[in-house]
Amino acid sequence: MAHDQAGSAFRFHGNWREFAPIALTNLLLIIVTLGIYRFWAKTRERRYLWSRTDFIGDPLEWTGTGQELFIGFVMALLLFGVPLVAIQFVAQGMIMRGHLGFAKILGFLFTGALLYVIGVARFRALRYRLSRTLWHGIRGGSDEKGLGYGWSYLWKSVVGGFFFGLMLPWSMIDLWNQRWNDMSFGSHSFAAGAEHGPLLKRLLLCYGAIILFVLLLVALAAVSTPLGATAIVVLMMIGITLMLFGFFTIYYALFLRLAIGGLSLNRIDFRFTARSFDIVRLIIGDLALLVGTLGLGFVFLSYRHWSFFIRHMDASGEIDLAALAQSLTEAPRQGEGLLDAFDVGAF
Amino acid sequence: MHSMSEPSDPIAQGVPAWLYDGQSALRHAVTVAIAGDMLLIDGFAPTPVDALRRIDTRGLQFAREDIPGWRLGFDVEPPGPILRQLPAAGRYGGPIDRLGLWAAAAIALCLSALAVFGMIQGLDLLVRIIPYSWEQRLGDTISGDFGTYACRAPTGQKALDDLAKRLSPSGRPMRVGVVNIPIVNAVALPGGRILIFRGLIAEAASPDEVAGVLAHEIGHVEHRHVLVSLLRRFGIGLLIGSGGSAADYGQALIEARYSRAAESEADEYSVEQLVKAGISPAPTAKLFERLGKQEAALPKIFVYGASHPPSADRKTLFDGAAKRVLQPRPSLTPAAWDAVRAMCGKPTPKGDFELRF
Repeated sequence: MAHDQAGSAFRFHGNWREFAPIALTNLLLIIVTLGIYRFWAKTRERRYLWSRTDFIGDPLEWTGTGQELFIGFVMALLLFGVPLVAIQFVAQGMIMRGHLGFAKILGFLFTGALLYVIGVARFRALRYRLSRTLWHGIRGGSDEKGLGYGWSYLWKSVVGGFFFGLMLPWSMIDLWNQRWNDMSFGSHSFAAGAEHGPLLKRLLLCYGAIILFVLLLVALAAVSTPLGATAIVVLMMIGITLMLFGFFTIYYALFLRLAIGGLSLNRIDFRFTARSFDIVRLIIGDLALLVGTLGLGFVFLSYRHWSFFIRHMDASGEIDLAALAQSLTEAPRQGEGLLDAFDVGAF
Repeated sequence: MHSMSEPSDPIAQGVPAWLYDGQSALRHAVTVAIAGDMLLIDGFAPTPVDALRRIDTRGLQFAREDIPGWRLGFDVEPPGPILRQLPAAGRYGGPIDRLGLWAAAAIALCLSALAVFGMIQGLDLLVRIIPYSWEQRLGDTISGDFGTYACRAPTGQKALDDLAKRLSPSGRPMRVGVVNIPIVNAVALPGGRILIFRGLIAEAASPDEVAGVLAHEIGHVEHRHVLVSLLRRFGIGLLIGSGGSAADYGQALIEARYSRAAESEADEYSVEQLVKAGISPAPTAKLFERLGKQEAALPKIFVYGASHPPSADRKTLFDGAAKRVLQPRPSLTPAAWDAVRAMCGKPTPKGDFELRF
């Protein structure tokens, strides 16, 4: 494991035997508290993972607490859960009264509001994580609160679906850049300048391959092969499922490489080195772990993903420790409540 | 107590450590000594030992609550006299560290069991505190006058209202409506609103079958099951219900336990009221039998409604009570039954119906 990160600015020193007692006691406490301990469990996991992650020779530290994650969750519940239920009531009341049109408009507005809130949540989760990450006693953060980002997320997500999803590469990269350009670590701002061109080319390639595959099958069916019609349909289903899985990893791997590769902090340039095949191996490993442990292995997934992420991170350039001063950004008081509520990741 | 007067005390010599001051990323090499309850760090202000907090991380590290980013670390473990005065690390968080993992887990398990039990038993108590008028207002917001699907016909409506009064001696305000939806079902909504779907009236072989179902729904209203299920789903359920698999099992347990209890409570109410009103429960048992044979999964439109799945047990319950009614009286006169059946006019062709959400 050490050899593939030799010379990298990022190194991960964790090992799963050290992590197992944390993961298993977390699991126990989550079960006996009906899930309420999960905020503290997440914090313990992160404290371990961060402390075993070195950036140019010195470890990161996670300073977040379970309590602030819990408060964030309760606030998200009150601010968004309650109105959500109220809207559901109003919509059902409208249907009962026969105002289907109004109910549809309400549903439309509701979807928009949800996208906005998810956008804000993603921004704030990243800001929270940076503000709780310490390196050499310095933390990150953002001066923005993510309300503006919510609007961008709303309309860019909608535009991303135009032309059979061909706008998606632009939408994803642009949102990534916008999010990271508002972030800082210590006295330095992040600069994100990833380009979406290569990602679009890859998406077109994937589309082309799917069309080619379908044409091939149609041709196969036309020249009346010994294969029956059902066999062809089954073949098509299997083929398309495998292809979609493959294309997803191919697309996502490139997205991460481009997005992280376009990121810099003062005179440090970041790089992500995972290829599509690495991600496929990670996912297959996840599945094998889950199947082999009858699902209980899920407690190790966060470890696997973090270690994968760090082992494929790299950075080059130089850093002036004396010039890297403490962050002046306002530190958010609560954690990832919204993100937790919507179950989406920060990256 | 450590005495400062001993000149040979090794603590006074200072031990090597490193320090981040929280101002810049520079790492300062320092030496540390303890004098009384103060930590002396050369080149930096002395720090009260009380202000230090041990960090759960690789190596030996301490933070100060009052200076964000301030970290003092020892690459080599300091000698015992210093180490003993420095605070110990937290592990699981607050009370669990004080109690120990297993004791805390056992206590949490008991509390969780109590919470699950309390939620099964306690919601009924909570609901009794909420005034019925509030629930009625909520019912107004949700269902209004039953909308365009409502079947409005004064004679049939009066017959149903009279029947409902016979079946609810408490006099609790209720509203019964028939809606033009071809589903064999009925549902109780918040605020004492009971919807009978056209399909049920069409399916019923006699008014007594409708009376049995109506009495069941009135039972839900009298026991205020709708509000309980509503609170359970959206209120407390939201908090623990999203807590992963363990909480999901808990939630499912509460739901299953509760809806079974609620259904049999409503059935018992139905049987009692039918007997009191002199209506035979036998036809209702027959209805359950017929529905049980079809056993088609009825679509659940209303997430907060209390629906009643037909089953063999319910047939037995209603059949068993039939001999308690010695001289059965019809629930509706033939004329009133005809009026009820005519409420929705001629059945609309199947394709006409649409309800999307």
